[in-house]
Amino acid sequence: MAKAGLEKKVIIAHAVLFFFIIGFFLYSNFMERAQQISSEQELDEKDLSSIEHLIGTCPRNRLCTTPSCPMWSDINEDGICDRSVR
Amino acid sequence: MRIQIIRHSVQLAFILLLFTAFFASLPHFMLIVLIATILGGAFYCGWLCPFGTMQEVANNVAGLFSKRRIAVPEKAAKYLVFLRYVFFALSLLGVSAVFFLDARISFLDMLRGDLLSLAAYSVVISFIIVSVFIDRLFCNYFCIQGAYFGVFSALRVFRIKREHKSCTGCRICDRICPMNIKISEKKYVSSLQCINCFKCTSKCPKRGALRYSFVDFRDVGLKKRFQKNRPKKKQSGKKIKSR
Repeated sequence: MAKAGLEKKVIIAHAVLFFFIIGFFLYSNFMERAQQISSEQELDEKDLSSIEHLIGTCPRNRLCTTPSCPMWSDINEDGICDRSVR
Repeated sequence: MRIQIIRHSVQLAFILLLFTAFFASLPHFMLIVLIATILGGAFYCGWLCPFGTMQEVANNVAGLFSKRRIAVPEKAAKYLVFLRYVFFALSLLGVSAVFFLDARISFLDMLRGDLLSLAAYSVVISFIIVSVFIDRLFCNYFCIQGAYFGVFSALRVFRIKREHKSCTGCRICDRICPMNIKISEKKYVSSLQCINCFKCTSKCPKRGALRYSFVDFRDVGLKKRFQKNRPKKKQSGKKIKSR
C-alpha cells in the first residue's frame, strides 16, 4: 500500500517537473521569437528613417548601397533602387 | 522503485541539458550512448529520449485517473513491431519521407524553438494523445532511432534475466512492459524492443526473480547449438567403432 502511494507521488512529481521544464522552454522560445519579430520591425522603421535623407545622394560612378536595395545600388528620387542617382 | 526515481531524474536532467551548451557536444555524447547500447541495451529510449518521456508522462498521468488501457491486438502487434525496422531500412536507403512520421525529431525541434509545419505539429500532438491510451505507441512501432538502437543492442552482454525458480508466473512484468515483451516466457530478455526502463524489475513482487545481469551466452542459444552438435560427434564415433 505504501509502495503504491510512493509510486503515485513519483508519477505526479515527474509529470509536474516535466511539464514545468517543457512549459518553461516553450514560453521562453515564444518570448524570444516575439522579441525578435518586434526588434526586426523596429530595425525596419529605423532603416527607413535613415535612408530617407540619403535618397539621391549617391554620386555618379560611386558605389552606394542602401539596406533595402540590391548590392551597389541606392534609392533614387522616385523611390526605385538605382545604381547612381546624380 | 528506487531505480524508477533515478530514471525519472535522469530523464528530466537530460531535457534540461539539451537546452544548454551541452547540445553542441551531443554527437560525442551519442557515441557514448551507442557504446552503452552495444553493451547494455537501448538506454537512450528508456532513460533519455524526451519524446519517450513525454509519452510516458502522458500515459502515467492518464493511469492515475483510469486503469483502463487500450491494447494493440497481439496478432497486429506481432507484425507492427517490424514497422520501425522497415522505416529504419528506408531511412538508410535515403527515403527521407519516412522522417515525416518521426515525431521525436519534430518534438525536439519544437522544444528548441524552431517553427514546424502544421503537419509536423499534428503528428507530434497525435502521438502524444494516442500515448495517453497506448503506452509508447510511437516507440513501439514508428521510432527510427529506436530501431537503430535496437539493432545495436542485439548482442548486448547485460540483459534482464528471469530466474525461473523464483518466478511465480504472475505475469505482472508482461502487463507492465511498455514495449509489450513477454518477459514471463523468457530466461533472458533478448528482444530488440527492450528499452531498459526496468519497470518489470521494479514491479516484480518476488525479489530477485528479475534482475539485470551479465549474460551467460550458453543460455541464450549458443548452448543449444553446441549441444546439438555434440551428440552427432558421439554417434559418428559409435558408428566407426561398430564398423
